[in-house]
Amino acid sequence: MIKDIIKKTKAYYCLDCGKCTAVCPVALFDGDFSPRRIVGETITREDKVLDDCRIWNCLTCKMCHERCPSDVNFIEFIRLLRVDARGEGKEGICSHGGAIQSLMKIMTAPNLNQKRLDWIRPDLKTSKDSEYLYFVGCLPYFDLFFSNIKANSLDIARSTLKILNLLRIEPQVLPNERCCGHDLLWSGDVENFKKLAQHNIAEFKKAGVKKIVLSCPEGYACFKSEYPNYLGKFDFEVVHISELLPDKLSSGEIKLKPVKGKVTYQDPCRLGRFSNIYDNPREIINSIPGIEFVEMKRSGKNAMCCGTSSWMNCTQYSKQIQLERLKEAKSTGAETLITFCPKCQIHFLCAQSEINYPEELKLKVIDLTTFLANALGGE
Amino acid sequence: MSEEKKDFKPKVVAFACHWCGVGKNEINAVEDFPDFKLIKLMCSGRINSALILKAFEKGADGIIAFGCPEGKCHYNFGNRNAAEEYKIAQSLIHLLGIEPKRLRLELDFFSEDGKLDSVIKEFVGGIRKIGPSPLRLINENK
Ligand code: SF4
Ligand code: SF4
Ligand code: FES
Repeated sequence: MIKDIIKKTKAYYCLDCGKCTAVCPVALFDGDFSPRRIVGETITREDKVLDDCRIWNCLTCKMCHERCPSDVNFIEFIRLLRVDARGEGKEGICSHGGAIQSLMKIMTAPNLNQKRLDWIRPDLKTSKDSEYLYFVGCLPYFDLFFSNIKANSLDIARSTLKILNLLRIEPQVLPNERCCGHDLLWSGDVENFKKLAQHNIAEFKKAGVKKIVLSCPEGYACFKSEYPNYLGKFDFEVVHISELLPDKLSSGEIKLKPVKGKVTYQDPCRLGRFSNIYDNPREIINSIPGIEFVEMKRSGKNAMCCGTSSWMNCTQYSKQIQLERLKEAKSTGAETLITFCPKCQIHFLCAQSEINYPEELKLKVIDLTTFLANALGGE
Repeated sequence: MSEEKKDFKPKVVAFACHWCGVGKNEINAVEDFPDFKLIKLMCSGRINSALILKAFEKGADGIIAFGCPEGKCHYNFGNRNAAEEYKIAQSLIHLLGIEPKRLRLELDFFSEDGKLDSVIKEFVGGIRKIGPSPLRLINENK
């Protein structure tokens, strides 16, 4: 019910101030898109909003909610509208022909027998009975699917495992973990999200793990808040890899070799605005000797989104957002843009692979786990 | 177990380039397989991993795709695209644990009498041996 959605997200408190639209990255380029107007129109003309294709264009980046003086939870508002719209048979426009949506739905099959562990090199140690689990998420799939833009998403997994081993953690890595369901949930598909979550919880229980380490901020935010929201008690400690590191780095327990260069950092929305983890990644970067770290103008709470979310509605505006952000990164003088979400990395690499992307704006885009693992030396 | 497989009617999807000779009149074998779906495309270049995954998601037990031979694509490079996409799809279904025999790309023949029938018969025969796709359960749960 739309009335309930308005109530639940406090949309009726909207002051029509327009702060949301002023900071919205989509509205910056798409004159048709305005969170302020979507809220206003929904309140006055409830029945029409589900037909409105604009509800699928929001990136759920939470920038608007961050600024709203009335604490209108716009992203939850959009998400719930999507659930209702999906109930009427509507959906967003799937990027990549819907391949990734199919992968997610295929993973709801109860009897899957995935072969997703080939990436674990012999020098990387895992175990069958550790209380730790490294939840790899969709990295094996991304690595393959985005091989055309050389995303090498599995570098993130290998680097994470290398770092964990250095911390004397030899985690379990499960052959049949599923996609965490984050994207299905945010595109309004609660039913399939729940199926994935139930499979994952069953796998975690079967493995007997207590602590789940993630390198993906979406999975992290999803386990931290959405699993308990939708499935009740989630009896596992959820840890982002960045939370394990600063202490060990400052105490000198982990030694790093110098790396020369100027870098900047893209806060992923699920790590920053969703999970309030801003300092850890910066401490990690700054602990690498020789590195010069520079902030972009919009950083931390104000960081601009990477332009696409949940593998849908990737439009010309997405490309414009990405270009704007890459320009901002480049203008810091950095030659490397450090990302901390496999999708931010994919999106920025994709934008740079466009045929007319200006050579002078090219940047190296690397995930922080990989960047750190390189500074650890060895392979 | 073998009894079960006898009852098993494989759902097979064929994506076929219009020009490579996979015309409807030629597929006599289809009559033997009620769950055979022929999807005609103007060129095998239309095939991509998204289409293949979608068909598996919807419960296909096997997917076979046809295109013109190397150098004979009417749009020049469509069949090369198909071959590249096929490779990605193969790797993706490997990750998912779907048996490799459920997917096949045939780019090496024009319409030779009867050959198509035998290729399809052989493919469906192979699927019969492996049994239903593990993904059928996604749809049966509904
Ligand atoms: S969540 Fe982000 S993209 Fe969506 S309306 Fe708010 S600022 Fe715009
Ligand atoms: S920032 Fe909040 S109060 Fe202002 S227009 Fe947007 S939703 Fe309404
Ligand atoms: S026209 Fe037959 S494969 Fe391109």
